[in-house]
Amino acid sequence: MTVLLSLYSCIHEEIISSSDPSTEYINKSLWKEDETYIKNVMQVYFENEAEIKKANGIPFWNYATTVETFDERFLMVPVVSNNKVVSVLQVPRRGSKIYFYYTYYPEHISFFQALVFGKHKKAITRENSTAAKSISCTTQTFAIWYPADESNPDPESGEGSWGTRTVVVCRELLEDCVSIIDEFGQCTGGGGNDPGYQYPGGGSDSPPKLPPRKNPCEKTKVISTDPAVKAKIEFIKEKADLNGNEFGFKIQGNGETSAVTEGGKDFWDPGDLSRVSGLYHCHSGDGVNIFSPPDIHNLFPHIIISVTSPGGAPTVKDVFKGIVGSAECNNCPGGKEYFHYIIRFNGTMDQASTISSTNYDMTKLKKEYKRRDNELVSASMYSNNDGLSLNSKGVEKLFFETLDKMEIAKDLMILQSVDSNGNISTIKLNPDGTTEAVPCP
Amino acid sequence: MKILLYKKIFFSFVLIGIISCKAQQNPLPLNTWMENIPQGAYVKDLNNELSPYVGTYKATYQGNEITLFITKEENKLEELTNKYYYNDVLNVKYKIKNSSGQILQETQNGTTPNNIITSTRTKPSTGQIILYYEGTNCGVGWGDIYLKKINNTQISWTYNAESTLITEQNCPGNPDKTVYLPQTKDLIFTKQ
Repeated sequence: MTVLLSLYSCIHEEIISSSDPSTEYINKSLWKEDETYIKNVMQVYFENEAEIKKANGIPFWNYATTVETFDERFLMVPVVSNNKVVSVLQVPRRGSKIYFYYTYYPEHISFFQALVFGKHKKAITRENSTAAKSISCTTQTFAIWYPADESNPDPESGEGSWGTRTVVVCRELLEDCVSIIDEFGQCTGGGGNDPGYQYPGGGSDSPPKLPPRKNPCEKTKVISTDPAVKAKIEFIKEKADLNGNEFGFKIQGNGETSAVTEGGKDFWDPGDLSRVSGLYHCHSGDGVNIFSPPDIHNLFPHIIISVTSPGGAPTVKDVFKGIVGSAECNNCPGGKEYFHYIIRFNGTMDQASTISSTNYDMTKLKKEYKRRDNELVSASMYSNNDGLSLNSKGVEKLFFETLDKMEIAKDLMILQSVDSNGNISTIKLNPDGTTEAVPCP
Repeated sequence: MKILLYKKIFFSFVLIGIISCKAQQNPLPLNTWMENIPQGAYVKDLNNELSPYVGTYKATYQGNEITLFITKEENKLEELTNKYYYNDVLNVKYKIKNSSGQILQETQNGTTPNNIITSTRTKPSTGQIILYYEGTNCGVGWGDIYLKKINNTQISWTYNAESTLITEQNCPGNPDKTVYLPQTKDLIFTKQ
């Protein structure tokens, strides 16, 4: 990854008054802003303040930032109460309407707290060469001076150090939603009254130019056709054939892949997941080639940490887990059947949080999972090698039954398979409990 | 007082009788699928398939000496996520020593909550007993063990472990995640 860092602008030194609620806009952020959009949004806000205002504090419009967008599309403005940024009001435009919603991301609040109240600060522009890979995210960073001695806070002469504050805004997250985006960045509601306000600048009835929204099939296609991902999958696939240590790799929110790392015998530790949207690991040896109860449960804390972390996955649906494995198969080419599955969660952040915090009795769930594996393998339709291990139909059935036992709504979980030619299918559950692979277009 | 005492004893016997009758009603074969086991039923070793495995067995694998202590337990309570029942099972405790005689892992004389091995069903097509191993710390190594009686003094052992994704949430700290049980196929154990 090539990261170009350039410092520009002189150091800002200012003292903030405790209130900045003026209706006259003066740009006090560290960046060039889309002032037309900010002024138009301010006009709508002041005309409808009683209706829009849903949180304590006053928007400090002079510190609003359009995060490097200049097509009258988006802004975020800090809301201040008692000299503290208490929330961030985000205002995206969709067509001719704008939408106000309050957010409480700690990273955003920290960013604006330092921006509004920091005495010595300087902008840093960051250009990330891979940023536009699949998700359109913009990062805005500035440096703030932390004096070691408050009596001499001047970075020119006093001791201290520079820290940074960053905000990340992802367009897909903001503009896929047809209703309200809640404080977790999740699209909620739908139907009912449109909560938008007419944008005085007009605006096109059609949404601004955006990367097309990707469905789960397209999301997986982007990943599975990435040469780096393909190479690493092939590598861990070879490892899956051996009864040795486990291997895996991570895919970050910006699409970059980590190196393949080796775990231990029967386990793999992916490490920090905060900037990671996807994980792949191999199921070595003769285990069940689908997601076990702990595999399924682990997806949910991963969703929480990734979606709420800068540089992580932009939406819940972007977090995924993949496995590759193999099983002996008398009727398969090379005597092996390969398994390659991906899971995603199609619910909201709230639902993911609930599942994440559920205290499952894994001892029972795992034992039942294995016992069910042994029951199904005794049925010929679920085993293609004389009852040695489950075939794809068998592991898929076991997966959906496991969701039932974990009380996870099956229609909220997306299970996809990828065959050896890279063809992706969505695995659908039939009413009789069997499964069907529906090829992605 | 005496009459009251007799009454108490009488009702106690009646109650025990009812419970016993309930537990003994319509025992089901070992391989009854979980979905077909009624609440509180008894899944019994009707064909006495488990008893021949009872005993103490030894094998050597990669320089380690493995001793298995296999016992049979009848009417053991089994709790699933949505029901409970009783069943006959084999319990396997073990002791693993390295070539220097140092004990690497032992469940025979310990109260460790991990490393439990209990039979779940049989595999008629191969004549094996299937046992579930809960794994060591953080569940690492959880999976199935297959035992097959070869003759009066020998059994074979096959162990297939499942994968475990370790995270700070599900496996805090850095516990020993080494699986000491032999992960191999068809290892021969000899009865002591």
